[in-house]
Order: sequence, then structure tokens, then C-alpha cells
Amino acid sequence: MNDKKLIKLLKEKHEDSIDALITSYGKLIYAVINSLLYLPEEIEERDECFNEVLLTLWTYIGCYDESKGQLSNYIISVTRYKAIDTKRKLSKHNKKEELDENLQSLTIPMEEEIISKDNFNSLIKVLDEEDRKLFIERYILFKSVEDIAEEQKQTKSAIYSRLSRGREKIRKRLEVSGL
Amino acid sequence: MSEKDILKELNGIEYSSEYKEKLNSFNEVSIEELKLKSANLKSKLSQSYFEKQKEMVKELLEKGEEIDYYVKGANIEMLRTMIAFGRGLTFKSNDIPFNYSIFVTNKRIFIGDSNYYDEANGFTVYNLDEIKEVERDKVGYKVDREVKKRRRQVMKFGVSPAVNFFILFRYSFGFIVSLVILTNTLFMWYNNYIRRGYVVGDDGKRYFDGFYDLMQASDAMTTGDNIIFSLIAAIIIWGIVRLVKYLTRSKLRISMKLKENDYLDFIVVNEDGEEIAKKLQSLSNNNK
Repeated sequence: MNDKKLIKLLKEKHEDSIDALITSYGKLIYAVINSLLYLPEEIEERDECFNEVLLTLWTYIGCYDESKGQLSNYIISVTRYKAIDTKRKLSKHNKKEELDENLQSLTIPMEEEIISKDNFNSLIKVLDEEDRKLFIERYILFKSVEDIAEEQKQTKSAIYSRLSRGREKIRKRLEVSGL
Repeated sequence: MSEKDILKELNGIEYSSEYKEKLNSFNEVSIEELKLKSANLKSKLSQSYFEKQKEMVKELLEKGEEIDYYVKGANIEMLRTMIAFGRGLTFKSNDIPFNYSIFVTNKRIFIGDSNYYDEANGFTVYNLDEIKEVERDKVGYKVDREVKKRRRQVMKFGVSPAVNFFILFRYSFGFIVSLVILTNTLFMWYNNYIRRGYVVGDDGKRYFDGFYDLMQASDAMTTGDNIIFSLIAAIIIWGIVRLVKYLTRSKLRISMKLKENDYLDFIVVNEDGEEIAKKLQSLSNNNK
């Protein structure tokens, strides 16, 4: 099935759309999940994450913009986003359990606070479109700086300095807001 | 920035061919396994949408109004259409209600149209005194008969002779095969039991001397005859099983007349359907 037909089925919420999505991209989605959720405690979350991705694509396929790139790339991004989110939730949960066990006080480092999902979504609004995309690639999709540099045909240090400038912008905005 | 906004931002992100190739090494599940993994997704979706519908109704309630009970139903017209046209024919599921979610409060009745996954299209609201008639019966065999009627309509209004022929062939294939087998059988029975049962009398005329001896007949049977006999036995058993299924399969159907000209016809999904049907009927009786 070609992408156009698949998107049409998903937009129409057709009963066969999920089966069609699995047939066309199920393997790709599961491979992305496997590549990111590999720790022992994460493995059993793979199926849940797979269903979460299918559900997200089924519900929000309208967010995909054909003019901006291939559907396969978009599906990889959505899957990475969901898998990283699962990873982050599990890591938070495990950390909390560990801390509870040791009766230690909970302190969240600034960096982690910034990239926690809810904050992130509102904070990156201060960035321009290109930097927003860079932040999403780095902090939401967890792409390596090497990969980003290669894809954007820039040096690693250029990417690092853009990230640093972006973080500075966000820090200033936080200070202005009194946070 | 909402989830939707983040998902919009994910457009235009590229991945290198090396990364995509690397993903192949993580590819260890078959499509069939993946379909199994997502098997409970439909019921999850359905449940979450139903809960959303419930919340929507709660927001529409007036002061002192409470939801007494609800009933989920499959649109009978849609089921018939699906069976008659086959799943091969695609149609916009958004435009046709697959299911009904009906919420009955102490004042009103909310009838929600929803698609295959119970995603709500909207609600129609009636006062309880607008329920004019509620009928319930068991359906199964009856529906199948109606479906056959629909198939004939499909053939009648088919778009072209080729499509008509295809539909006729599709639905008549079993009949044609049965007819061929039956003709063969009759011919064989005539040959083995009747033709050989004739004897020639003293006067030179042929007389029927009863059926040809069964043992002799079976000796005379070829492998081909045996295969045909086995096929007939299999078809008879299959027919009996189908007939039993037809007659024993039944579901609760509720037909409602609301206001003067609004009708609702659905198959009840709830396990406590009988009880709910009685409650709905009592509401309509009160309005008579």
C-alpha cells in the first residue's frame, strides 16, 4: 500500500487502517523501539510503546505534513519521541523507587528539569524554528550530536554552540519568569 | 505547547541511510506477531472513546439530571451493508455510524453516533417522553435472510454488467459447484442402482426388478465414485453444521421509534442487554 492511501485510511479512521499501518511500517516502528528500549526493565514496555505509537499515529496523523518529508521519517520521529518518553518515565520511576528505598531527598538537576517533557514543550517556544528543530532532535528524539551534524552538514562544534546558545536563551526566559 | 504541537514539529526531520540500515539489525519480529501485539488496541481505543463520550454527556447534563444506564449497540443497517457489499468495498467509516452509544438519564436520552472505534460523531438528544415505541427481538437467521435480499439489490443496481457478473459469480459459486456435484451423483446413482436393476423378461421386454444390489454396486464403484461420495458426505455435514449455527446464533436487537419519524435499529452489545431492553420498553409504555 502506498503512503497516500495509508494516510487517507488513517485520516478516515478506517477500520483497516491500523492493520495497514502495521503491514507497511510495523517492522520499522518496532525496530526503532528495540533500538532504544534495550535495558532489562525497558524490554517489557516495548509492546506497550508499540501500541502507543500506533495510537498516536491513528489519532494525530493530521499533524504529518507531506510537503516536509517522507512518511517513513515522520514515523521514525514519532516512534523515537514515544520510546524516549517511555524511557524517561521508567527512569524517573526507577530513580524515585531507589530514592524512596534509601530515604534520600530528591534533587533534580537543572538540565533534567529543563528537558522534562512538560517544561520542554513550553520552553522551546522562545527559540527560532531552526533551533527548535535542533532541540527537538537532540532532547526529544535523543539524536547524537554527530548524527545531527552529519545530517545538517555542519561541524559538531557548531551544533554544540547552537545548543548552548539555545539553553542560554531558555535560562534567561526562566529568570525573567522568576523561575 | 501541546502534544499536537510537538507532533507537528516532528515534520521535516531527516534520518541518514546508515541509521535506517542500522535499524534493520533490530528488526526481529514478523508482521503477524506485530498484529497480535496490537490485538487489544481496538478494544482499548473503543473503551477510551466510550469514556470520552460519557464525559461529554456528563457536561451536557442539567441540574438534577443523572445518567441511569447506558447501552452500546452496533448499527444493524451497517452490519447488513458490510456483509452484503463485503469488506473489500471501502467506504468512509466516519460518515456512517457503526455503533450507537445510548445514555439514558432520569430526564433525557442521549444517542451518540460513533465510528468503528467508538469515536463520537455527535449526539442527538430526546426527552424521555419522545420515546414512542421500543421493540426487541432475537436476530440471527432473520438478518441473514435480509442480507440475501440486499445482495439481490446489489446485483440489480450494480454499476456495470462485468461487476454484476462478478457479484453473481461470487455469491453463486457454491451453488454452481453443488449443482455440478448433484448432477454427477444423480447420474451415478442412475447408472449403479436403477439402470442395472432392470432385467430382460421372457418376452424380451425390460422390467424393473428393484434396486441393484448394494454390495455389487459398491464393488462396481470406481475411485472417482468414492471421491464423489466422500465429497457429498462432507457437504451434507457442512450444511448441517451451518444450519445449526444459523438457528442457534441469535443476538438481541432493539428497534426504537423516537418522536414521530426517527428510528434506531441496533444490536445490543452490553451483557445486561435484556434488562436494559426491558427498561427502555417500560419508558415507551409510559408514553402511550
